[in-house]
Amino acid sequence: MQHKRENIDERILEKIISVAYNDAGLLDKIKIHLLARKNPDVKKILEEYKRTAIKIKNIPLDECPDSVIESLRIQTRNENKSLFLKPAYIFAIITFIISTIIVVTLNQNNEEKPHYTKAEIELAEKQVKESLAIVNNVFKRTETLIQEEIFPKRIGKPIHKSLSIINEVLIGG
Amino acid sequence: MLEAISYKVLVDRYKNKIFSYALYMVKNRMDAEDVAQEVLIRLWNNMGKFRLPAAGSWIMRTTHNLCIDYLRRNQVMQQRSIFIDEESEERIIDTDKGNRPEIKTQQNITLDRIKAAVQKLPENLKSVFVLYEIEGFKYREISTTLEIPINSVKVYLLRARKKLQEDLKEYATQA
Repeated sequence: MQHKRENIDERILEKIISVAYNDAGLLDKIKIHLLARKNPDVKKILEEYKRTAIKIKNIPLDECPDSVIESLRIQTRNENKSLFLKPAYIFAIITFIISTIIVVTLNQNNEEKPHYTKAEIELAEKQVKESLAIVNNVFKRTETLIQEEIFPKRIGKPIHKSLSIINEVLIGG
Repeated sequence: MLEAISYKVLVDRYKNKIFSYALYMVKNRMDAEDVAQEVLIRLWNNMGKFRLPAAGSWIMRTTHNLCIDYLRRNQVMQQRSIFIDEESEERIIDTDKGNRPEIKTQQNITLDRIKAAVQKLPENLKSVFVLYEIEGFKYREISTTLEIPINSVKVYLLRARKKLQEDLKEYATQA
């Protein structure tokens, strides 16, 4: 094989190896297969490398023994427990939650009261007085209407009429 | 909690790759187990210190570095062969149980012969060859893992293939 290789260009040999191991480009594959048809030495070298490549591709990975994983599992499990049960972590989490609640509550209570100018206050007072005067006026009108219109005409009159009818009926009977 | 889940996923995905790589590099099951365990412990201790997409490169780089440390510490281990390991012997003995024992035995011997040839490769060629051909890493990933340029990865891979072919030529012509 060494003798045959001497007759084959080193670059061609590299391409033959790449083709045999199936990681050559399409052009190189075509080139080498055409060359292998013409040159029996190239064909033989290609086949030899292919046979080795197939065997190598079929080598399985060695399985990691269970004992390695088992001892590892025990170690990491112990570390896991200590990580979650450390009092320092629990204390830090509780402190953080409590301080967050306090800060939020204080922020809500300390909301700034609005400031008004004297002119605004006077205007507001004036508007309130006007509103109350309007309401007062409405109440007075309503009182007058009830006393002068509704009671005598709408209530007193029908009652008076009803009593007259009753009197007539009784006297007449 | 999230770290524990990520860790479990990474262990399931890489445990065999770590162990296989270590076995090819240190050539001894017990040492390979030690390396695998050490890598997985370091992975646990360093969870959160690297990006998850880069975990593969981190894991294999750690594996590679630990293997090199092991080899430097104990040069004698380099003389050992994978043929000595108990699994290979058991596989050959157990072939009577199979349908075609002679074929199975031949296959196992061939597989072990190839593995031994891979192990004989120089360290730089072997690391690239195992990562590419057996573990299925890409050129770029190998470049990141071993901290060498991509062109060097390609050159080492080519040299490894040639050297392996030379070592296995008897089998290649017989098969």
